[in-house]
Amino acid sequence: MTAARTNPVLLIGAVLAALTLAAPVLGLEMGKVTEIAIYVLYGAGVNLLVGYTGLVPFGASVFFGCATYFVAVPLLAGVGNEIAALAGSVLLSFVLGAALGLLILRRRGLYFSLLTLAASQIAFEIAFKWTAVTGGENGLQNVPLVWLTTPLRLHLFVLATVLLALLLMWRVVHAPFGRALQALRDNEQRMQCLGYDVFRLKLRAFSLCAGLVGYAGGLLALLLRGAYADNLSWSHAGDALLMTVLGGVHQFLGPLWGAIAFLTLEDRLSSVTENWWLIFAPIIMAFALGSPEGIGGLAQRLRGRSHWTLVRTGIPPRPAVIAPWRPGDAAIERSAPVLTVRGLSKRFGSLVTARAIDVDVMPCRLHSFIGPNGAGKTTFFNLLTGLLRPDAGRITFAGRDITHLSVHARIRLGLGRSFQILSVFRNLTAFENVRIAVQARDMQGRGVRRGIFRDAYAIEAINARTWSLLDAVGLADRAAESCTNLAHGEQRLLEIAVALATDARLLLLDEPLAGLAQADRQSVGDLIRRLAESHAVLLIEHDMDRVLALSDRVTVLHQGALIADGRPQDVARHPAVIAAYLGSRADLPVAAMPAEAPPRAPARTVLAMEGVKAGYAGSLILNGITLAVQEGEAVAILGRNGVGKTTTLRAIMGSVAVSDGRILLDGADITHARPFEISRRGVALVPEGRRLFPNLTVQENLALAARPGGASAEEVFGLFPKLRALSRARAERLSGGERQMVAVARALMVPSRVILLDEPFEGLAPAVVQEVMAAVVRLRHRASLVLVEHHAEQVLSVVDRAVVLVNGEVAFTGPAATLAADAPLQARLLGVVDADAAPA
Amino acid sequence: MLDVVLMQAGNGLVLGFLYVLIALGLSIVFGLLGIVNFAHGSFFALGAYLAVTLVDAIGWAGAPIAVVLVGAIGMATEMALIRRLYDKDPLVSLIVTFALALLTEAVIRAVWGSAGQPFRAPRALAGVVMWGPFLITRYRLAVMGLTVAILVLLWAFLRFTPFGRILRAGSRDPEMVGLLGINLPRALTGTFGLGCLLAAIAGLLAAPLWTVTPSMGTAAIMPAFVIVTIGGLGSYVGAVIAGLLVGVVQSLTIQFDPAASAAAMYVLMAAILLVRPRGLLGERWERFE
Repeated sequence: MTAARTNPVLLIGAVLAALTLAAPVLGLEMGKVTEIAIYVLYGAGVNLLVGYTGLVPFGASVFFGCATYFVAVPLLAGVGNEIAALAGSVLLSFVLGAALGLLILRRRGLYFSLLTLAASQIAFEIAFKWTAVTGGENGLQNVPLVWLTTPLRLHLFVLATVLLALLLMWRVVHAPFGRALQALRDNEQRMQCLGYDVFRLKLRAFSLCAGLVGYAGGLLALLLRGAYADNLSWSHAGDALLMTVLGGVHQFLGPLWGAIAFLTLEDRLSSVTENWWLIFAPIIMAFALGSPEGIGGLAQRLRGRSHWTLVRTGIPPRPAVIAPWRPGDAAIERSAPVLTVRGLSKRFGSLVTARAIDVDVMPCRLHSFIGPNGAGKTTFFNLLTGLLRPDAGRITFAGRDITHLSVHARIRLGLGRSFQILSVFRNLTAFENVRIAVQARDMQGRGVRRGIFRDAYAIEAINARTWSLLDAVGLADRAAESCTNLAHGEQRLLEIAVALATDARLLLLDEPLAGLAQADRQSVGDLIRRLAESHAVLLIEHDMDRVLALSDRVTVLHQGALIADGRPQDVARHPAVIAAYLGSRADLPVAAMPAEAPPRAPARTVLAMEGVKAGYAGSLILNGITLAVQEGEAVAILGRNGVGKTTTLRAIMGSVAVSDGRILLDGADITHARPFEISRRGVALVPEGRRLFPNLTVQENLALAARPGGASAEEVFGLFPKLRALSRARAERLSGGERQMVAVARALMVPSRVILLDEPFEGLAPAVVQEVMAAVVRLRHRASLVLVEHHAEQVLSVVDRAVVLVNGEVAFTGPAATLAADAPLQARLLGVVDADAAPA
Repeated sequence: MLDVVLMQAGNGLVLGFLYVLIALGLSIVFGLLGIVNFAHGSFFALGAYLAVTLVDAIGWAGAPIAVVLVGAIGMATEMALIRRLYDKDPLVSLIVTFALALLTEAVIRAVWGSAGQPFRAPRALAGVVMWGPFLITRYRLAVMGLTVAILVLLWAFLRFTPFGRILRAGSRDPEMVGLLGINLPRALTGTFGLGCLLAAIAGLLAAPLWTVTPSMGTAAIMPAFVIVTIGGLGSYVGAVIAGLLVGVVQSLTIQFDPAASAAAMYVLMAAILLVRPRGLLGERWERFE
């Protein structure tokens, strides 16, 4: 039993043997059991793509069906014997898979599924029409067999070789190659950024699938003693996929249960009615919707423990002593810059996110990039790693021009990165997450065979290094946990371990400290510092205090341009930097509102949040927000990046689930209403990034939002004369400022009680800011306003009250004038330098 | 020789226009709902079968009723089944709609039998039209005229009506459509119904040209996929061009190399995708990249 548990192929063998013996009792012919065994292999081959690699081939039947001809044609011609024909069919299928893969693996997702289906349909047409070779409609019959002449002999041969093939597959999925496929399934971009050539991985997986499925197809030709186009037809294209889903795509045994259920049901149902899909289709639908993990998952659920069984559970034993982590020797020359960037530019439509950036990165330094939201920091990293292509400029890394290299080629030269948004392998263990990164570095240039057949967990050097890294970030005790079971903070630590594992000469860290507890910030900060002693580290971080304390050098970006570069203490006092963070008095809007609002009747609360908690996928962003907006009032929600400003607006709009507390609009509870209902009750949103519909004209964008009681198009054009001329232009052609004006105008098209504006000035040039500001001021007469901003100074003059958030909680609430007058308070809550922790 | 080519090209255009109707429905549903509907061909077949039955029973007034009925069935299907797929893995929607296609075919077999159903064009449209070198049956000419009219109407509908705006906007950013106060679930139901309605019209028009058989749905779905792929996702004009292209190419290959006729469109698709990976007029669509 333990053997069966560690090696499910034995269990498959036992089940198939039992089925063979019980066949007479069950009223099954032996041929049916042979067929089941063949389809188990067919399903398993397909599952190598679906469950392991995350690709869904809808037309894997192309390999299955073609292989029946690969075997039947030579045997009928009297060439060779069964074994030679089978070997030939595997080889041909493999080649077919590689050729097809080269063509269609360039497309992803649904396109890929449909292209495989198209391939199977081409094969069907050829098989159906090329009568001379394939027998056309009648197919090929009476294929002569030399050795496997009796049903029993054939059955035993099929059983034995299918089990061997499954054994091979079981081995492959535990090898470095197979493990890499599973990581690829979870996160393709991350794999690229670890230096894996994802296209080659996919191509190999696709070819391997073709080989396995081709062997199954060859066996079917022997069983049927013929080949028929029907196996390639549309209605059979999904057979293996249906079986695998029925059995469970995340179970190695899924294809076994699926094939048994599918074929016996087909057998039974078709003896009752010719029209057996009438009964079978609803069963399939019910399973797909009700039990996405299939029969295997259902059985697990009944036993109360759901988990994937694609590979052995468990990780290599933890060594008695874990060697402390030590950065590898990066072997770089210390005096020359490791990275040189000249004139790097990138724009998205009218939005410039990198403006002729020149920068040098020296080795053995911790170099930080800071800048307000939308300054272009992450874009800069994406340009360096090759996820984005620059419009102009050159990137030289370690003496080589890498401007046009692919992502994995850059990584292999010694570039590494971590991600701002958590980018780990969700369904793998913590250990495997880090191990796959260590493997990326260790397996480069090694032979293919070792990577395909060897047990990845038996490579001691990689294991040891993985343990050291896990220990360094404090996750050694959690190594065996699946990533999904880790807390958000732990996943962030894992992200850092993965980034460190690449041992890159130049490591790009995108907000590694975000979402970490205070103690972890300290320890991760120390790790980064240690890494910087022998490598080059580029850091994007919003925790200013820590940046200034850690960094050797700081570069400040603002609106895509480099505005300051130098020692931390100098940069922190640079006037342009202070202006970028707090907004300088110079760009105060001309059209500012009078500070004194006209006296009005006793205030009525329009919008109230009471102790609202909300977040995404397990991590809490809002930690009990309480605030109120009065009738006719304008409130600014301020705070540094990542404190929950946008999430607050999303919670109000109902587009993020609120886990605790309530939200009231005019006294009525809207906490769990749907977004469109909330909008209809009178909450309008001017979202971050405008979110106009690019394929609609300005006029259509406005008309889409319009509801009775809102402003008319004429009124809006009166307020924004510029838009009248643009009303027939498609939104994708507008500049950033024009788009923002349309977004503001759009909010006026409905009768609103409250208008929410999310960073309305982001990414706009100063002159345009004034224009948009004037537009915002005009909104004040129509509804209460809630304005999210990180530029305090810019908005304090136009709002009545300010609410400052820190880490998902309200840290200050009071009259805007109070905050505007209190510079130290501003600096403490919003500024570059935390007054308490400023470096001496 | 030339007149044969011209005649086949004319027939190809008729075929192409029918394909365009099917493909546009598929494309609209895919664009807004994000679902590749394998069962789209089922509604095409259902349109033909209901038309046969209703026209038999109550005369030609039954034809529009059949079309509207299929639209209603489509909306009911969306509410009962398709709706459950929006937040699921694309694999699930592939499996479920595929099973739905096979189920519909089985239902058709159970209700109408496996044999083909005869369906005659109205007598007023019998006969042929000669016009210079062109020789075309009156019915095919009528089909062409009608589909062109429907395509223009549909285009105007998408372009100028509020529902059309929601459809176009929602294909890019469905969440934002909801945030603007539009009842998106209802729009999705309507969209699915519209797609099915278009398929049913094609089914009705095709019924006198092709034999009405249970497998006509599956025969229509692959050309529709190919056309959407060739034309480029979300492009109305692209789908029209691609549909006509596929229709003409198919008709011409039937004339000169009948065995290759079905494979021809795949070859066309492969050739076009090699040159233009997003199809003829496909735009970059963040949601589906």
